[in-house]
Amino acid sequence: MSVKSRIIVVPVFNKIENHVAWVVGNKVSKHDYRKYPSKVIHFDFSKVEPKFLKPYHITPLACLIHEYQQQGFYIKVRGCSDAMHTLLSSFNFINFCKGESAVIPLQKDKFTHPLWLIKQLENSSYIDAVTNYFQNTFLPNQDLFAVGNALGELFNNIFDHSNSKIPGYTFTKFIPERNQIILSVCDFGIGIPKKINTYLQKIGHEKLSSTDALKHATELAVSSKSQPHNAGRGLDTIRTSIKSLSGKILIVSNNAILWIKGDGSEQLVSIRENFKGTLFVIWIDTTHLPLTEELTEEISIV
Amino acid sequence: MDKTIVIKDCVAGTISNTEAVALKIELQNALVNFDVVTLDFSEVKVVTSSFLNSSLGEVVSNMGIENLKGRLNIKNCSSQLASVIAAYMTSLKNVKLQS
Repeated sequence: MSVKSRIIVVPVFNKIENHVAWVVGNKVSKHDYRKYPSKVIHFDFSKVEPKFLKPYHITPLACLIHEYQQQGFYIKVRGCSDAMHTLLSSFNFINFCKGESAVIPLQKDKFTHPLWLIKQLENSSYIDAVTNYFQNTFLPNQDLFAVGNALGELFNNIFDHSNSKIPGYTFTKFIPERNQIILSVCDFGIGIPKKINTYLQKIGHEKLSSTDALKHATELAVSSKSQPHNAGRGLDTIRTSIKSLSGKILIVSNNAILWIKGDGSEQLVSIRENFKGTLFVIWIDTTHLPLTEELTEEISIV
Repeated sequence: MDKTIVIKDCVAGTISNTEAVALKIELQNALVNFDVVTLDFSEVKVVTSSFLNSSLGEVVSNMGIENLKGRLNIKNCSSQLASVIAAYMTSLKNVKLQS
């Protein structure tokens, strides 16, 4: 007699709130072991067309699957059309579901640096690999400091503050027809608003709403002081750098969403579900990247 | 006497706090033994705020910004990297000397 295995249907995510609710509702902590005793989980993509599966859906999905894998589940992908299979393969998603995510992945699609399990000791070499690849292949005259800096700040944030039980996932994609680089980083830690509020309460301040705490975290020199060297510049550095390039940022953490749009305006949205973790998505218009110039002569900095 | 520290030869990376520790130690020693120290950023494309905090920030905190005036230079940076480092150093002008 075969034991019943669970099928998790990936729907069309027409709103970020719906995506968050789906992720939260399908976390391994909510798995019904009595109803589904099998250690196999099927992720069914038959209800979603590739055009509705956006790059920013991929990293939370990877974190979700990693949690199941960590608990000894085997992941199977089903219901993929050829087009969906091609899309998921471009992120190395199919192999990742087979548990092949531990190695730095090879590119299956020349425009995508696929899913990578963020590893603290390999962060610098990964960032070098990504920036060198995109520069050498597509953008030889442009300075990719903003891309490397954003990845570095976000990786540091995960290891310094998130308390995530899994290290988190990232990918970077270049879309030539839009002159756009998209990077996405996701962890399943405690979330930025919760971290900020824990610190504020520790120093005797009042707790903020999730949206206010998230906004607060992106301001200069705001820090949860969770590491001795932490001076709270990371998120502000990203915000300043990406805004100066008219780029866009989406942050989803706990019950808050922060959109920083290309025109510099910012929109905070409160959401019902608590996304325990942080999802960052950054869109950079490559035509706004500065040109690589000659290196500086010796200059004094003090 | 002057001393040049080549960043890529000194640290394993320019992203994390941990990677910055080697630079902090080498820079601090150099500032004790030399009048002027130049940080050579050849082949360094990216730094993070954590890396700066745990290298330059720590040195300023330990030695005092007043004691470093005219003694710390950078070279071979991209303009973007140079502006980030300069802005960072400006932000440290009110950092108090660690007792």
